[in-house]
This record gives sequence, structure tokens and C-alpha cells, in this order.
Amino acid sequence: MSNSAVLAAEVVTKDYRVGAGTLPVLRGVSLDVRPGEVLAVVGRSGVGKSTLLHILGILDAPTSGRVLYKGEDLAAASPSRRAEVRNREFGFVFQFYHLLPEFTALENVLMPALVGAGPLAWLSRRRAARDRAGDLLRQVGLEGRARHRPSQLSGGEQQRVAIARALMNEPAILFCDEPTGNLDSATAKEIMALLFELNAGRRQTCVLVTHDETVARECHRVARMVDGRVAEVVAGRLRTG
Amino acid sequence: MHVLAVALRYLRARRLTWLSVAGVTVGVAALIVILSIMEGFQRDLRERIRGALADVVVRPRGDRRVSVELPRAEAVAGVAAASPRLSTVGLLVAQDAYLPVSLDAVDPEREPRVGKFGEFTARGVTGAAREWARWRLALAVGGSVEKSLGREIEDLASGGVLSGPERRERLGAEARLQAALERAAACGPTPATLVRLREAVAAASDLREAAGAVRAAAVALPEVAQDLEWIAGGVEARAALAEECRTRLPFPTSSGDVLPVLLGTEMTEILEFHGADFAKLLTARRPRRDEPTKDPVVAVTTPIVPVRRVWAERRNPEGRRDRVEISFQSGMYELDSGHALFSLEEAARRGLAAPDRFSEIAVRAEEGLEPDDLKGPLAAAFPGAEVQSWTDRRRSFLRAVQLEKAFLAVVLFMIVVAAGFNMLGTFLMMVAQKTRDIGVLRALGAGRLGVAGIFAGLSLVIGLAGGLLGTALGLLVAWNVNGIEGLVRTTTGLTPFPRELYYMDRIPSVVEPGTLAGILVPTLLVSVLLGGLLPALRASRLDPVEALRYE
Ligand SMILES: Nc1ncnc2c1ncn2[C@@H]1O[C@H](COP(=O)(O)OP(=O)(O)OP(=O)(O)O)[C@@H](O)[C@H]1O
Ligand SMILES: [Mg+2]
Repeated sequence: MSNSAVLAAEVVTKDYRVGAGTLPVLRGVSLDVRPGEVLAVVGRSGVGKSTLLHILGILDAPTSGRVLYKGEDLAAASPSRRAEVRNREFGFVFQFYHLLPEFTALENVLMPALVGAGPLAWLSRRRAARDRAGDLLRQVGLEGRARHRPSQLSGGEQQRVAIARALMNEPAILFCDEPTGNLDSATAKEIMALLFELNAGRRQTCVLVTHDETVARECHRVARMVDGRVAEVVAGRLRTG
Repeated sequence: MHVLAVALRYLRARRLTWLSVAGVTVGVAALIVILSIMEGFQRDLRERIRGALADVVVRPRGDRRVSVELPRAEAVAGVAAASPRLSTVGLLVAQDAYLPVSLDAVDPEREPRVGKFGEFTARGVTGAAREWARWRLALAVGGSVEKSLGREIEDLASGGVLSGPERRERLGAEARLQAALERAAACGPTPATLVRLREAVAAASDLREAAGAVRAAAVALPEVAQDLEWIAGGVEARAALAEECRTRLPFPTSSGDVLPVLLGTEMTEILEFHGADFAKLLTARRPRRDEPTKDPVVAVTTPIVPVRRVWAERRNPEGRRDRVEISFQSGMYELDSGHALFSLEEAARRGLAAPDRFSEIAVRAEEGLEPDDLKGPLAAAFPGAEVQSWTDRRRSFLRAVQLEKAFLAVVLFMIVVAAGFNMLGTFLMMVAQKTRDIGVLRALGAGRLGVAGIFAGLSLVIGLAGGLLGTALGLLVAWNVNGIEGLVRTTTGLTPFPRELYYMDRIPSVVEPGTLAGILVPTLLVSVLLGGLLPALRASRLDPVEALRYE
């Protein structure tokens, strides 16, 4: 494995128990994510892209294999450590936005900070966190919609809020699972542009699951999954400057 | 921190949760109100029983003399007062009535110091005085209106003065008099004022206050001033008598052959109902050595008369001497209808008891000392004697009352439990509805404990809110229960609390901090353990990936 990897999967397998038998979904995936890159993961539907992303993002545990984050095996880490890493180091953007409907856009963006802080810490940190959440909303172009509920926002706007939320705690890695899968092509372009802009601006490392070959080609590297394995990793068009 | 924020937001967003709060509120309020009133009644009852029985009773074995044993009891540390009693049972015979009675020959001055019979007698005198003033004022009303109506009222009222309440009720005199008085009040300002005065006197809690009201009316109404002055004087004399009874039972020094006995109000009414002017007391004693009988017991018949006070110098308008028959009122029917007291000395004088003999010494514990703590020292001072505290003597009854309260608490607590189940249903539904959001929170870094905390926190918040609201509501009602009862009485004409039935002028209600804690802590436990635990567990067990896939 390359020493320069910030996150690496080492022969990760994942079986699902279905009835009496098991369904092998990942059959030994090895993949590394390098700092500052946008890594696209492509493959047929059902090949296990989301499963791999969840395992990389330690939302899910692999059946076997290791997930190394900066050299630490997170697959073997304690639940509280895994929660801490998810909160501090990782950010997630989902296909269906997954905003919390009872909270405003601003509050949704604040949520990772809120989750990470105890009541006392929160009191001292609240101001700074609010300012940062406001900044993030401005960056994704939603400064006027801070007080709106998700139900008052369009799909594209909701996804922007979700991206701002994922960035709240300045994550080392951003995981995006088909972030444009539910949007029309014009909006999808805007969202992708936003993600690439983030990468260009602050060298945001990003793992991007996508169906869209043209989008994949725009990334630094493309991992193609076939039959539960990463069949090949090819270079995309993006170069780090 | 998110735990609190999310819990509060869910609480705000969902109307359903207020139903759970309302359930807890109602349960807690009901518990506080009912248990406070029960506590009030229980304390009152205990006070009465304790007053009738005295704190501790010592029954030495064998033939003992008051003059020897009483100083010994008084010398025991912690004894505030001691009084000898000679207890027996008998049959009260009055014309066609045979009434079983328990009899206590007592020391008129010592007895009020160990128990409450002085207080009970003062209460009986006060009640009788109020009653007397009402009938006398009715007569005054009769005298102040024109002939035929006036005569009607006088007939009804003098009948009332002469016979007891039960007989009056039976004759329907009370209702007819009330109607006649209302007609009289319409005749002019003087009868109207007198009718109102009559009602004020009936409601007055203090006799001196009532006498003052009558005197004030005498100044304002010159035409009936003489009557009113006389009535006021009578009430004052009775107030003084009540005061006197508190420290000395009002046995007259001597009445020839006839034994003056102090009866309870209920017994007096029964006798009045039977129209008995005099009665006899049937008791039994052991035959004397020299008596020519083989029977193990000898019956003793003693003529008795209710204790009365006569004011020889006060002649009433009909020319007779003003007098009152004195009876005690404990508020406990068995006692008021089946107990009689007479003076130990007088009983001995009439051969009803051997002089200076007693069967028990009643003792009052010093302030702050538990009666049960006095049992040891008394037992040491009277070796071989039977020593019983008042709670020993009514153990099963007191326990039954306590148990009744506990059962009622359990039954009422079911309201809270129902609210807990309501919470459980609401939260389980909420966990199902919020499955995806719980997955999102986990993805954002919330731990299992964190998401569990949201639902545990929700149940705690609801338990607290319901508990506090219920406490506020419960205290409001418990502290103002008499005002509320009055409101119900004036608006609906119903009588939720018949005062005569309980011998209480107000609903007793005692809020104990211990009871409050005993209600609130289990309420919070039920809220959290029944309402919150299972949903919290279920939320924490959700697999974040599954939850995120959930639509
Ligand atoms: N909990 C589960 N139990 C059993 N099978 C599962 C479970 N979760 C996922 N699978 C299966 O695992 C396989 C991989 O699913 P995954 O969602 O990772 O595919 P994907 O590549 O993301 O597909 P898509 O492009 O449609 O999102 C699928 O065949 C799916 O049916
Ligand atoms: Mg997928």
C-alpha cells in the first residue's frame, strides 16, 4: 500500500446473511484514498459501491479485512472511537440528502458540531460554530435560506445544505454516495461543480460514488468495481496543481 | 448536546407528546389531592382516637389504690400527666330503650389533662350553644312579626327548643320553621335582620364572636334589645362553660341519690328520642363476703341524670331557669353513642365502685415524646403491669386505615402507569418514524448511547413536565380544597362535604413533603423505565446502514 494513503481498505470482504446462506457482496477489496484527491467509485448497480463506501466511512463493519485511517485500524476500533472519527474526520453526503426535517438549514449544518460537543463545551463553542455554519451556507450559495426547513427547499438546495453539513467539522475525507442521483442534469452539474470547487479550493479529499462516467472521468482517479472487487484503478483528467 | 436539542425539538414538533404530559399531570395531581385529604382525615382521626384513649394506659394487677399508684406513675420521667380510671360496662335503661355503654369513672380534673374528653365536652357545649341560640333567635323573630305568623313561629321554635334535633327532624319542624322565617323576613327590616343574625350565629366558629354579633344587633334593634341581650348573655355563659370544661369535666359535687353522667351527643339524642326524662344504669359487681347470695355477680341499678348546668339567676322569658344539658362530642360515633363518664368519687359514694380503687392509669407523654417510648419506663415502674400505648389498643384499625391509603395510592398510580404506556406507544412509533434520522445522526458521529439518550431524555422531560404541572395543580387543589368545595356548594347547591357527618368544619388536607417525593420519584421512574427504556434500546440497536436505507 502506498504510504501516501490517508485511508486504505485492505482485502475487505463483506457477506450478508440471507436466510440460511450468505451473500458475498465484497470479495476482497483493496483501495487507498490519497490526500487531496477526488476518487470516483463506479460499477454496476448492486456491485457493492455503497457497501464499500459505508465500510470506508466506518458506518458498517467489514466481514474481514482492515480499514486503515492514517495507519489506525478503524474496523477494530471501539464504537466510541469510530463515532468520534465519523464526527471529526469524515463527512457524508447521501443521494437522498437525509436532512433532519425538524431542523432549519442552519441547524442541520450545525448538527455535526452539536453531536460532537457536550453541553458545557457547546456553550463556549456555540458562537463560533454558528458563524462557521453561516459561512458554509454562504459558500454553497444559500445565505438567504438559513431559517428554512428542508421541506421548504428544492432537492438541489437540500443537497447543498447536506454538503455544508458534511463540511461543518472540517472533515479529512468527504464521502459522497451518488450525490446527484436524484437531481436533474443542470442541478447535478452545479452540485458537482461545487464539489470540485471544494477540492480545488481547500484540497478536500473526496470519495465519490457515481453512475455517471463523464463525472467519473473528471476526477483524479477512478476505481471500477466488478463482481465484488476493484477491477482497476485508472487516472482521471483532474491533476493536482 | 444534540441529545437535548433533538429531544426538545421532537417534543415541540409532536402534539401527541402533550397527551402523555397530560396523562402524567392528571395522575400526579389526583394522587396529591386524594392523598393529602386522606392524610388530613387520617391525622384528624388519629388525634381523636388518641384523645379518647390517652397516650399510654397502665393496668396493674391485683387490688391497687389510687393514692399509692398515681404518684408513682407521675414520677416516671416523660410522663406529663396521669389520671386514674375505673372502667366497666353496663346497660343504660331509659323507658323502652336498652343501650349498652362502656363506662369510665374518672377524676374530673385529671382526666382532661391526659386525654381529650375536656376538649370533646367543650365541643359538645359549643354545638349545643349554637343550636340553642338559633332556636332562641327564631323565637325572637316570632315576637317581632304580626300575630298569626308570630304564633306559628313561636309554636314551632319552642317545640324545637324542647326536643332534640332528631325528633324535630321527624316532625318536619325544621323545614316548616325555615319557611315561616322566610315569610317573616319579608315583613320588615327587624325580622329580616334577625333571620340573618340567626344564620350568622349558626355559622360562627367562635361563641364569643357569635355573642358579640348578637349584642351588636341588640344595640341596633331597640324593640327586641331585651331578648337579644338575654340571648347574648346565654351564649356568653355557655362559652364560659365550654372554657371551663376544657380543664375540668363539669360533674356537679352532689345530686342526692342520682348519679350525674356525662354522655356523648349521640347517646343524648337517642335518649331524647325515646322521650326519657330519667334513666337507670345497670351494672354488675362481685358480691361482698357477707352478702347472702351464691351468684358470682350482683346487679346494681343506679338512677342517673345527664350532667347539666343551671344558671339559677338567669330566668328565661317564659320564667324558667336557663339550663343546658352537657354532652361530649368526640366525632366518633361509637364513642358518642356508647360511652359514659362519671366522677370516680361520686361512683364510690353511690356504691358503684370501691373507694380509691381504679382499673387503669391513663398517662400523657410529654410534648415531643412518642407514647411508645414511654412504655419501657412505665413497665419498669409497674412490674407485672400491662402497659399499652394508644396505637397498641387500636392497632388493627389504624393499620386498616393506613392500608386503605396505600391501596388508594396504588390504584391512583395506575393513571401514571397508563400515561407511561401511552408514552411507550408514542415513542415506539416515533423511533419507527425517525429510523432514517437516527441513521443520519449515527453517520454524523452520534453514538448508540447518544441516540438512546434522545428517547430516554424525551421520557424524562415528559415525566418532569407532567410531574411538575401535576404537582402545581395538585397543590393548588389540595391547598384550596375548601374554597373549591364552597364554590361547588354555591353554584350547584350540592354538598360534597357534609360537615355534620364528619364533625369537621372544614375538609382537612395535609400536604406532606414525603408524600410528594413518594409520588414524584415513582412517576419519573415509570416515565423513564416504562415509557422511555424500550424505545431508547430500540433506537440504540438500529444499524446505521439499515436505518439510512430505510425509507
Ligand atoms: N442488509 C442487506 N442484506 C442483504 N443484502 C444486502 C444488504 N444490503 C445490501 N445488500 C446487497 O448487497 C449488494 C450491494 O448493494 P449496494 O447498495 O452496495 O450496491 P450499489 O453498488 O450501491 O448499487 P446502486 O448503484 O444501485 O446503489 C446488493 O445486491 C444488495 O442487494
Ligand atoms: Mg448505492
